[in-house]
Amino acid sequence: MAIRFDASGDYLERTTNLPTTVWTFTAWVYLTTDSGNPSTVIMVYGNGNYCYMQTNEGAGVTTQLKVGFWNGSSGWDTGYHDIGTGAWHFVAGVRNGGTIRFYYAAVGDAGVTATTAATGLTGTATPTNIRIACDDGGTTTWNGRVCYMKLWSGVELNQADIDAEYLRILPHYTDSLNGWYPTFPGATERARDYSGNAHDWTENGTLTDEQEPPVSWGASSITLPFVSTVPVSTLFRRTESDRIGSRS
Amino acid sequence: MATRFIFTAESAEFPSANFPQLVPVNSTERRMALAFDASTDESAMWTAIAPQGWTGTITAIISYVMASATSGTVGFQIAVEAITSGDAVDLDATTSYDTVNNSASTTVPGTAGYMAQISITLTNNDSSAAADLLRFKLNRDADGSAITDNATGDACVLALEIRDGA
Repeated sequence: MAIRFDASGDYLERTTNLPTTVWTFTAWVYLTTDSGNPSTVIMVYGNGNYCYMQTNEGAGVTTQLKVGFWNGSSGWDTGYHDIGTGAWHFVAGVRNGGTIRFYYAAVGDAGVTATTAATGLTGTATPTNIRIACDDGGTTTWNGRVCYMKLWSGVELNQADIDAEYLRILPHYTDSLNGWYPTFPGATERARDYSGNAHDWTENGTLTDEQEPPVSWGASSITLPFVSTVPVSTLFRRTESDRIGSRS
Repeated sequence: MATRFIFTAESAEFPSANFPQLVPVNSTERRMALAFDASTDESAMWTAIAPQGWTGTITAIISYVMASATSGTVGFQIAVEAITSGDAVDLDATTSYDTVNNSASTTVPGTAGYMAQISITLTNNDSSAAADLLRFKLNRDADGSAITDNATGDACVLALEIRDGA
């Protein structure tokens, strides 16, 4: 299922084992209500290391979702995508040092679309926090759903890798997986990390669960080989004529 | 009969709307299941290739538990799509399922969580033959349009087995 954030103090947070300057984050997001102000999907911050994925604000562009970085006075250099309300979108943010890129896809798309990367990101120290659904000030809250989150540390996935992650809940790329959150329903479960690292989120506010997007878990079906039911005696019966030098 | 395919909840494919939730039915053991709603018809699909030797009567066996109901009945439907190489079916734009095959209206187990199996003969299997691209669409007839389905709560499907007449 998906986690429902109602924009009244709800968010998830981690403060340990956070990635620094190379990471990849993917998730499915659904904006239920557009507040007309920025709405945050994820924010990484602390020790001068800031970047976040957020809807923009401004006349006529309130639902544009993109990744950018805050340099103290301005941001939003990556390409963006208008997600609107009431529809699921797969989103990915990829940072490698000074460069950050945003990818997106809608349900049914053949693959993700890459957008123009932003460059010039500063901040190399380990951040102190990662938050889902609000910023460091507890505002710009996400009013909608988020699910099937994956986070890699020290890894910059390329577009083909991200395509594979878009199509399934199970991580396809498992090297350096820092966190995998299938968001099973219920308290604690929705915040639990299944990567094996125990990097659970801390829940803040009153979180609930709602319908998820139509994404397969990603396992394979089992096909059984055909086994003959013909009796063995029929298959391997010998006759006298088979023997060399035999008499009939 | 011979088992040809075993489809699990984790390998299911979903339409863009009205699909069962993929949930663990046990909080510690995490048996994954597809939770089919009690009031709205929901569907899930699985894709396969008909193996060589595919023959005879095709049967589907649905293994399920009820999330909460201990009385009433459930009804499932399976539609089969069989695409032969060269068929004039644009898979980008359409489907070509045969007429749905209905289960009987089946009384659920008297204890929620107890597993039971429902068998459906796939008489309408789109004339499937070896090497065909197959798709099986499983639907709970929650609105009772074809089968009486009045058990409350989710019907959680754990697995779908397909057998042929070999």
